Amino acid sequence: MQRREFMRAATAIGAGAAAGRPAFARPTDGQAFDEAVSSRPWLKPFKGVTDQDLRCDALALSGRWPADFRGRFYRNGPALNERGGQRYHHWFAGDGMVQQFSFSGGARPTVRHIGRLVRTPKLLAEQKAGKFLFAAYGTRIDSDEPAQGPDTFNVANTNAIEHGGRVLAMWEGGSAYALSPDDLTTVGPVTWQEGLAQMPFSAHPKVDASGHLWNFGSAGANLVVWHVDPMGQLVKAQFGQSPYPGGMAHDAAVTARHIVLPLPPVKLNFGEDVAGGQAFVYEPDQPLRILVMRKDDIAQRRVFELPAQMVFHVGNAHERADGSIVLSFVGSPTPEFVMHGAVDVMAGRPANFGGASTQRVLLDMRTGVARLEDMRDHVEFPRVHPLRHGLDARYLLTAASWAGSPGQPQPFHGLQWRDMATGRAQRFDYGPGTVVEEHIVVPKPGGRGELDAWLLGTTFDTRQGVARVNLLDARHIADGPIAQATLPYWLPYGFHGNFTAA
Amino acid sequence: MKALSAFATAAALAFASLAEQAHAQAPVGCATVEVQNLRVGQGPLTVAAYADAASFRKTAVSQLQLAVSAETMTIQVCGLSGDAVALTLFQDLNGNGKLDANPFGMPTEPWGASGKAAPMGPTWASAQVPLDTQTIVVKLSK
Repeated sequence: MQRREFMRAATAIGAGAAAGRPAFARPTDGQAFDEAVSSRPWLKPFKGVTDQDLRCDALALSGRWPADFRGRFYRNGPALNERGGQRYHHWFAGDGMVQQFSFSGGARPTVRHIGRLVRTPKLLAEQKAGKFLFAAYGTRIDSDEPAQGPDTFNVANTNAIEHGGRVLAMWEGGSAYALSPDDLTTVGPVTWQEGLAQMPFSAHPKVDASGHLWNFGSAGANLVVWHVDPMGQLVKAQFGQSPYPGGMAHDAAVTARHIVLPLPPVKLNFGEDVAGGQAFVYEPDQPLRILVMRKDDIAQRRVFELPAQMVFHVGNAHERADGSIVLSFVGSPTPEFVMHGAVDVMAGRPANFGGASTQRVLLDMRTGVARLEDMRDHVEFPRVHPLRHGLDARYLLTAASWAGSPGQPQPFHGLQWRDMATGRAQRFDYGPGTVVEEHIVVPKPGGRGELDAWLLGTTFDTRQGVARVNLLDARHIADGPIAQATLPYWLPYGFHGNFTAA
Repeated sequence: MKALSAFATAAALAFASLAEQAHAQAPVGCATVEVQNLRVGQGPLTVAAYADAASFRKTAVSQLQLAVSAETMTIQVCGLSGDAVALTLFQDLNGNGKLDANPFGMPTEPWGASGKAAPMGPTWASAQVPLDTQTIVVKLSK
């Protein structure tokens, strides 16, 4: 009954939706999703999890796990998508679950996994109520629950990093959540300094080689830039204004002296439902702005303008001797994926992933001129060697897909390791039946060069229906994984993660 | 055991008296307001009542501050006229006389408003309720 009412309400919303996207008129519920994905197993991880935590003490190992590969690999992503017969309408909505893979190293290596939902007040209240109570990304929830501020809606679902002795589970709009590295117990929201509760701490902090963490947050016209020392203590929070108020601001790069923040001409109306057609505003007549701010005084800044495009993720940035800044990033011609693709996959429909490509822009700090180069590949989730944040990193790692691969049409069936100096790209194709998630670069102990590294990331095996962790050698990408660890279950598709050596 | 049952009786009486208060007809010019999610012993509750859109959050027609003695309290707000009223409330946890906010203007103390839930902050349109509402229920944020 409840479900039928929900469907009717959803249809009513759809009837008023803007013309041109009739597919939005029918948001799905859990059952409709299950039916839709039975013929498309690669979409299954969008189903999400229940309130049950996950644990496996010994993953099935294959290949050769190096004895000196020891540490903890964290990943985060939207995980709980359904409650009380309702299903979220957008991939970015779900409550975050942090995954932790612990690698023992040694002569007889073991790999352990735990997955725990971040115990936000939102999650706890909704568990108690047995239904969703709060608006979520792209999903309207009718409720009279009072809101304190952004953290009322915080799902802590976008990235996880261990820093200053605690795991930070991060969302874009509110506080980071601290978790225990031992067992992922939720400690609570991080207030970096008295008076700074409910401040946004975005999901893509950059930690430089000395352990200093830089991040930003944005809300409406307001901007904050965070500098946190290696012990996890706030050094300074600076406040400023966005040159594109209300615009989405997802990921920033750092250089030795600057913070480099792409601001695509896209706005999210949080709380609006994608079914109503008002959840996003795309302004293609507005430029892609690149805001460059001095780390020591963010009021000293320059705004570069490029033709409109969508940008989620930066690769890296560095300063050249002449003071100009080189920024690598992944951008797509339109925000098709966030506006439609991420809705389609939640309904169990194949999606347009938007055709994002590796790009590099040279920002001339004297003239304000930006020169853009598009490498015309098809990638996402750019990462560099973690000790090269802000320096001239030569290699850029991405999940990738390319024409002619048997892995298509699944999004991201392979990895690409691009030499940004020569433009040459090495690839590894996981092949049909494997969906590739973000991979990261992990320095080898004692290694000094960018190639003295492993590449670490998760995949979903669509045939076995299980998740796998893969380790590759950065010098031999084309050989594929040197070691794999397979879970006896699948995981919801995640976004981003980081590794901490033990 | 005895102590527990005595407590239960006292609690039942308290509920009964609250219920009685809530259903009693408010005097003319007054509104009966049930405030939920209060934090006992953590600073006073401040209530402001506004009469129209023009004065909303600028000039209150009635304002009061009272000690918090229970998680849910029923109070009378008087000095009202017209057809509608909008209420804004906060619990002044640190007793500094104002609703504290972070540098982005987001409140960091429990707050609430009458009418419809307004995550981005109350407006006259979201907060106004008919003055003859039997009990105006306001849940403070947690």
